[in-house]
Amino acid sequence: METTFRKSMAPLHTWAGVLLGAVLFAVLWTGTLILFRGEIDQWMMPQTRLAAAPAPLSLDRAARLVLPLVPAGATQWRIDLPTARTPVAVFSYRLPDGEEYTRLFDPVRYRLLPQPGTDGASGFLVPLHYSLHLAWADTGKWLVGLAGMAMLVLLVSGVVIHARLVAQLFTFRPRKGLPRSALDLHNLSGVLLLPFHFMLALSGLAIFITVFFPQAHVATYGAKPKAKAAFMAEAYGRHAGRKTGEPGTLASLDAMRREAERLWGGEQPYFVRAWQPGDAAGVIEFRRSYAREVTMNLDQLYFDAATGRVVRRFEAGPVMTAQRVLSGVHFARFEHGTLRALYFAGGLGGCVLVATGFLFWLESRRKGHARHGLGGVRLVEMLAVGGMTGLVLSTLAYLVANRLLPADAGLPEWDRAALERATFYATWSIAFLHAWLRRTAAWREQLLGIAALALVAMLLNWLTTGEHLLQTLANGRHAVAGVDLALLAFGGAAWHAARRIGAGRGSGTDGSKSTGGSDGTAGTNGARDTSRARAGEGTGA
Amino acid sequence: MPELLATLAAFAMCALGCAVLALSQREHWHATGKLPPYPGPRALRRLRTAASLLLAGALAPCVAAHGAGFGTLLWALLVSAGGISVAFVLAWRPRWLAPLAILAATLFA
Repeated sequence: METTFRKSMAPLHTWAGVLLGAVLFAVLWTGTLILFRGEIDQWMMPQTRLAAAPAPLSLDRAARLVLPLVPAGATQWRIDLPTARTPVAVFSYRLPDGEEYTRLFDPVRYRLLPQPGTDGASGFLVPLHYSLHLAWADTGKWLVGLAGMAMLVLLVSGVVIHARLVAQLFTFRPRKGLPRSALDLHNLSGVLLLPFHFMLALSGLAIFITVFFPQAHVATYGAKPKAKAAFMAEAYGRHAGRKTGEPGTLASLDAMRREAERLWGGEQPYFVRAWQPGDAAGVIEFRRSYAREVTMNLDQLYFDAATGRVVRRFEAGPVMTAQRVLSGVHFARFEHGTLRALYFAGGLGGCVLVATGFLFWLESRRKGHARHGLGGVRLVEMLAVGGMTGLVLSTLAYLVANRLLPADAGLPEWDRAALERATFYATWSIAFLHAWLRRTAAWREQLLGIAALALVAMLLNWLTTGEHLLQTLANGRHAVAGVDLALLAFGGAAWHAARRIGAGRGSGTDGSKSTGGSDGTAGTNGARDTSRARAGEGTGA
Repeated sequence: MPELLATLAAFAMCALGCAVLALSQREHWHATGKLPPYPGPRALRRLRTAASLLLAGALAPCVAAHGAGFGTLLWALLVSAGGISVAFVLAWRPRWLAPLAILAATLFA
């Protein structure tokens, strides 16, 4: 019975991995990077590389600076306060059609900053992580959700398949031939990081309850048109007020903030938002910061805009709190350097897990498929190379484009940020095409590309901003220095891996000329070194 | 600073716990060198109990210094980090675990 069950899990594990591995890698890679979205944002928007504010921002002074920008009829505006890691303040407002406009400002000198001309990490890599930028009918979110479910299935079926789980708990034999060493590393990262990846996949699914389970509220709230809104208001808290049409005034925001901090026992807000601004029914909302706890609290305080009196206080109920604990575990929005570093290492470990899974699949089937004339290896190898090294390559191309495009770059209908995004997608498409055409040789060539682009990105940061690594390290600009160091580390690891592949292949073999079948040994050596180098990335971080 | 010390202590306990757990397997015990003989079943049980206590005990400094929420998360991740460190030491520098094997052999024989 046990063997049958175990055997039945194997095709499930293989097919889920092969079909969704590339999506999983994309989610893991972007998820790992956006742990440091604030830092990447600063790297990509040099005008936001400000010194940390010595005193808290005065909201009243900030309001005098930004509120003249708000057009009549705006439905809300919002100020995100600077934090220890992001020294810039963000102002945004929304129009009735849902369109949102954002301006950054310097919270020390109360000056508007020029438009950054980029989506940075928070505007591009973050949505890529949860929606793959496929907005139509929420396709991307469903695909990511499917990958999240697949991750849970893969982790559990992987444990079931693994015949010598306990005996090989700490076994890694890097000197053995490829399928073996890749499988060792796959088992090692899969089993030892299982709690982390299970937790992250599960919490990722819980965050999008309203997408993946859109009818969840019907049982309690009924199916009437207002039911969903009632559910959202009770679950997440929302007190938007209703426009009266009478003009309203705005009391002191700083006084409201002090009151909020008093009611929260000294805890700070992280943003302030005005609902129905300029109207007599206007409400000011404060949201409590996530910095000091795992749970992403939903604590909200609403003030009457004109009088500054508290009109509503919201805290999440028990079920929503459970959902917000899971969200907190997933988003890692708290301020905890050690945990953030461990999450980063765990995320890279997840990338290794997917990569070694692909490598094992490819190397254990390469010869057999060639013998039987099957095309699966070529197809999966394209998916693996394009989806993994290709994605890393296009992420770097995105950074390079960010530093290369002039500030006023743009085409008709295309602003600068759109050109950056286009660079990303163009590079990714070319990487897939290259992987299809060059087959096994594509591993080495794309790794060399990664090494080159990482170095170029770092040098371009120096050239365009005048801030090189030694300087940012000495000045304590950790965000910029950290991104530069990560670029160096990724580039170095990729270069090392590419060199090892070259050495393993010897002088006589040319991967590009041989067919998939005769290329077996060369590919084996190459891919083994890739997995080794990737393991290095995972632990080095 | 106390937080950092607690983190380091917890990581040391996790790595040590995983190392003892790994040494309780014949293959890894022999990989450390040929010094003491592989322990018998009773000593093995004691070794594994000690390892489990170390791993579970690492939760204490985490929670004490970082609070229940952060502490539990940190502990879960440090256990993984300890396990992977031990696997890499066994892969590339297995002899580093020889002193631990000798210590384990003397303590639990």
